[in-house]
Amino acid sequence: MGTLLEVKNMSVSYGAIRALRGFSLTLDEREIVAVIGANGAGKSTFMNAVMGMTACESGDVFLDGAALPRESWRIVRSGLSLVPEGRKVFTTLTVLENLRIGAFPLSKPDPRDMDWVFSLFPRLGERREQPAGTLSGGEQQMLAIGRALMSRPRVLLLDEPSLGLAPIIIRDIFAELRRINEEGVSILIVEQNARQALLLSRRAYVLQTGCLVKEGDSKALLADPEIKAAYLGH
Amino acid sequence: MDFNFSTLFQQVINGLSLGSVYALIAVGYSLVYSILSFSNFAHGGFLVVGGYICYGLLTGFDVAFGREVLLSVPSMGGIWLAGLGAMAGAGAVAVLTERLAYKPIREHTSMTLYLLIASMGVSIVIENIFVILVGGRFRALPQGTFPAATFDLGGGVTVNASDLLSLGFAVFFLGGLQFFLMRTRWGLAIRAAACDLRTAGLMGVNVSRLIGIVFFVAGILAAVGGVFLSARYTLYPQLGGITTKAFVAAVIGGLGSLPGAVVGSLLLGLAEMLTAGFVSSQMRDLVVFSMLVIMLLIKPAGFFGKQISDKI
Repeated sequence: MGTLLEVKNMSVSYGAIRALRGFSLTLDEREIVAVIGANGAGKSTFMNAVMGMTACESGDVFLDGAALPRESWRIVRSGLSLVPEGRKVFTTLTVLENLRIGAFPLSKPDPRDMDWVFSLFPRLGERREQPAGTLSGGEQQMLAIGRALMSRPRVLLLDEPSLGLAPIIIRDIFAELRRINEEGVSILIVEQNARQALLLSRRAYVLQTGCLVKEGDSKALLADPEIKAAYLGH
Repeated sequence: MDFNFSTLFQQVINGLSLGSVYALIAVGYSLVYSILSFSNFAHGGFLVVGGYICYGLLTGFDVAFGREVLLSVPSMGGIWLAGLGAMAGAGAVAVLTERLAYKPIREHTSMTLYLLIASMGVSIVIENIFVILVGGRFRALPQGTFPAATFDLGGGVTVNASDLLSLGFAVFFLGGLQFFLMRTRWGLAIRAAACDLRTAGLMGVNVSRLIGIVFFVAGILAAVGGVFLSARYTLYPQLGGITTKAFVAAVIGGLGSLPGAVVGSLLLGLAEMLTAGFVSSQMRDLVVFSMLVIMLLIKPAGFFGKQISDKI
């Protein structure tokens, strides 16, 4: 399995505050990698910087060895797709329209893509004509994931997908993420919910106030006493 | 003035016709507001650009250069070509305004107040470019530009062909806009961007191009409004000031909402013409701005508006 996505030495500052300091990460083909850390550790900053939404002080991102473009819309076209923090579905548009806008970069959208999303999340199919604003939080998260899949990404990036959702819904969504990965989509996930993220991923990086403090196999991290104490709540 | 039904009917027709022209302009205000959350006061300038291009094409640009520099178009399809030229020109000026005046600000700050102030500046610039180029005189579109016929509907009610035309064209262009927004790929992108501009960029939409398209469309609609307003009131560099009323209509309907802009415009046109017919023509503006004040007091978001944030 070759390296698909490589982030080298990324730093981001907001004024005097250094939100991310020289963070490097790799994601292999068909791999699931998690970045965990507490609130304010720089996880979302990292995601936004990869997607071109936040300017980096330094750092490079490569996809298949080629440098990513700078503008978000070009990054999406080159094969990355973000499920943003807080879902950010287009509330005034219907479920169907949200999925259609997700396919915007494709010159010829394939109806089978939408069928696939509906097979992953049947509830979206039942509610296809409803405005996205009328969906529950869990359904909006499903829609945000489905929307991101519509551009046929090679890497699906998820920023805090468990945020504000009931545990049972989180379990469902993470199960679908595994199915999505089995279809060949590599996944980079950023989570405060360390347990779920470590259970899902193969490898993980631990961020603390913008610095990498630990990385390794997710199974090993789950058993790591320090990680247990700091992030797993016992 | 005594109440009678023929006056009522007459003024309702006039009101709808005026309101439909307001709607073309108000929709442009709302479209830009829905994407960038600021009221683009240069919009009146786009209208004036459209009006003068139309006038210039119809008269062979003798105003600007003292003689006919090119074959005037009446012999070549007249108002149709002049109208198309006006739309293309105003659309281009709108895009240029965005690129030169707004984009540099957008890229540096998310404070929309700066955009608002810049738009006021652009409006002054455009107005004075025309004062310098063609002078401040009032100009009427050449006779015969629009059919002068009036239709007698009986009972003393008459309709001008040009009023019917402006109503018809407004419906046509608003319908076209609706089709563009609801049935095309970029239309969908614009609706998504109206909901959340930043996230639209994450969908692979080139936001910069999207904003350009929005300004081009707003410019086109302003030009159509400009042509009909210059037919109604004559053309002068400050004609753009009339868009204040379209802006009021957009606020009453709910800034950012396109149905709101249309409903607000028709209401305003009707209120203006009914006041002129039954009270006094001088009271028109008083009624218009009273409606605005009352609306802001009882329903600040307007009829169809969603957020009640600062609408400036």
